[in-house]
Amino acid sequence: MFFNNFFEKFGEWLGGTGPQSDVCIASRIRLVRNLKNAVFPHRATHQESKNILENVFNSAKEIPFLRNSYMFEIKKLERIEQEVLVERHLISKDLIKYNSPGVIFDEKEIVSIMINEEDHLRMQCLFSGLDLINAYRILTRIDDELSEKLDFAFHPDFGYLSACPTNTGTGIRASVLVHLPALVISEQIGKILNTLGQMGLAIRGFYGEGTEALGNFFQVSNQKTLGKTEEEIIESVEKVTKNLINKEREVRQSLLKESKLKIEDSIFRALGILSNARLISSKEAMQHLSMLRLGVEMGIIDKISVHSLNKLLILIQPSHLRSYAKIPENNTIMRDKTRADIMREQLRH
Amino acid sequence: MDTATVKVEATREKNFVPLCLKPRGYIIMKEKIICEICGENEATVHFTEIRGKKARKIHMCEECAAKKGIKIVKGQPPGINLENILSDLFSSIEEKPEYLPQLQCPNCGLTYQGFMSISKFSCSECYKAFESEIKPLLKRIHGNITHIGRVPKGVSKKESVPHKLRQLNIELKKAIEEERYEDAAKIRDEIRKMKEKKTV
Repeated sequence: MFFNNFFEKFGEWLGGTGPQSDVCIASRIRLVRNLKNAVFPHRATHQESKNILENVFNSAKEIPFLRNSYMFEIKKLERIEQEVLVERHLISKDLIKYNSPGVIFDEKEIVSIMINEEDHLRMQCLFSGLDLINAYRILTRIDDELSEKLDFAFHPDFGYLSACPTNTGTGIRASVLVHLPALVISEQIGKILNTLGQMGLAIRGFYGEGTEALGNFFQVSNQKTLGKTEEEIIESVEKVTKNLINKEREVRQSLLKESKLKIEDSIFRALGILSNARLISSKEAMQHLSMLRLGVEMGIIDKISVHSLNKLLILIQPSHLRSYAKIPENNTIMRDKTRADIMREQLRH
Repeated sequence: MDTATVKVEATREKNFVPLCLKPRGYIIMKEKIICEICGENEATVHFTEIRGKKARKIHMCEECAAKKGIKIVKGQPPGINLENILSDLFSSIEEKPEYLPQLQCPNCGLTYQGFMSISKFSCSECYKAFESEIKPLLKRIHGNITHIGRVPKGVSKKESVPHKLRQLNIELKKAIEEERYEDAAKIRDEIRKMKEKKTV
């Protein structure tokens, strides 16, 4: 059962492997699909949504890739369990608001399918590093197999039909999670985000739409979904990401050259705080983890792996901590204490 | 008080990043400017007061600026908020209510007005019911109205125009890569023709 030991295993996308993983944490492809003639989740009745959930669960059971997957009816889970899924990027925060929402995800947390969110199906595939195309390939297989069992809404001109016209067409969102501390420190990030916006790309925070860019992590993704092939969209996001990565690396090098002492000081201060603090909020922890990560990636700090830092990013989130240490909901002191304890434990060497 | 020439200017920081995108707690190499009025918050409003020939700069936080009744000239935020864009698109259409057509989806009952107010369709059949109206909308959002991507299994690929377009696009790319520019030009013209046919 997933919720018994989720502290011990983490999604494969947190592995810290894959191309360009020093700056690009993960790549994600999301495809939107809806069922023909059925009312979209935001207007569907309880019964209609329930039928769709059952229908999708039954179809998914027959798909080889998803055979050993977890399938959850979100409303049957405890609230804390729902939040754990959000923190692991397996479902969105919004999913909980709909009738009969559900999720299917595999053991390695590579693929997850949300049912009855804004659209009937929202499938995602998460890969470590910059590897959008392979994430896409996995999803297309699942998409093909599902489309044999489910009647997807498709229009010969407009393509796949979605609840919101911004997703119509391919229904694809290709996004990357990048860590850009040097661009933030050098105060170039504002200009760069601006340029990305003008190029038609969306920039979001660590947990997607409407969230803050915690710990210098940014999500960059395409906005337009109609009139281009999926491959073209992926290529364009990948190309921009590569430029962004190069820029970040360049600035890291010039920071090392021009203000090595200052950078080293910030990194070791972050390490000092994380390995000594007795109480720490998640915001503060994220910020120091970002600096620590920069230190590891620039070779200033060894003995700490990117993988363990990635795991910490998820483990220190509020619901993971509450669940881990069985802390009551409003006890923030205990939560901050547990967070600090975990940090010290993980960073001891 | 010399009221002859009082010029007031209030601007936002040059690299202003909206709150939703603001990376919290990052280290800033240069020192923070603290509000001169409350002495607590970071000064993000830089106010230049010109009296006669004397100019004075006051740095203050947004709260204190608001208390002083200073209106901040908001620049275009660098972040792109999809919902804002969308509501802009819709509102610009909504400005001409006389053109709102009386359409209704036969499958779910959603009216075109209903669609406009929440900017979401209620079922896949809404697309057919509002087809004539949503083409310009899709064009404004995506810059295009013809899908050339994947097709579900079971939908006849060979006959579908999108599929042909997709094939042609792949061929076009290949032709360019292999530097067969004459072929590329022919394929490009063919794509153009197909797209024109669809928009008529």
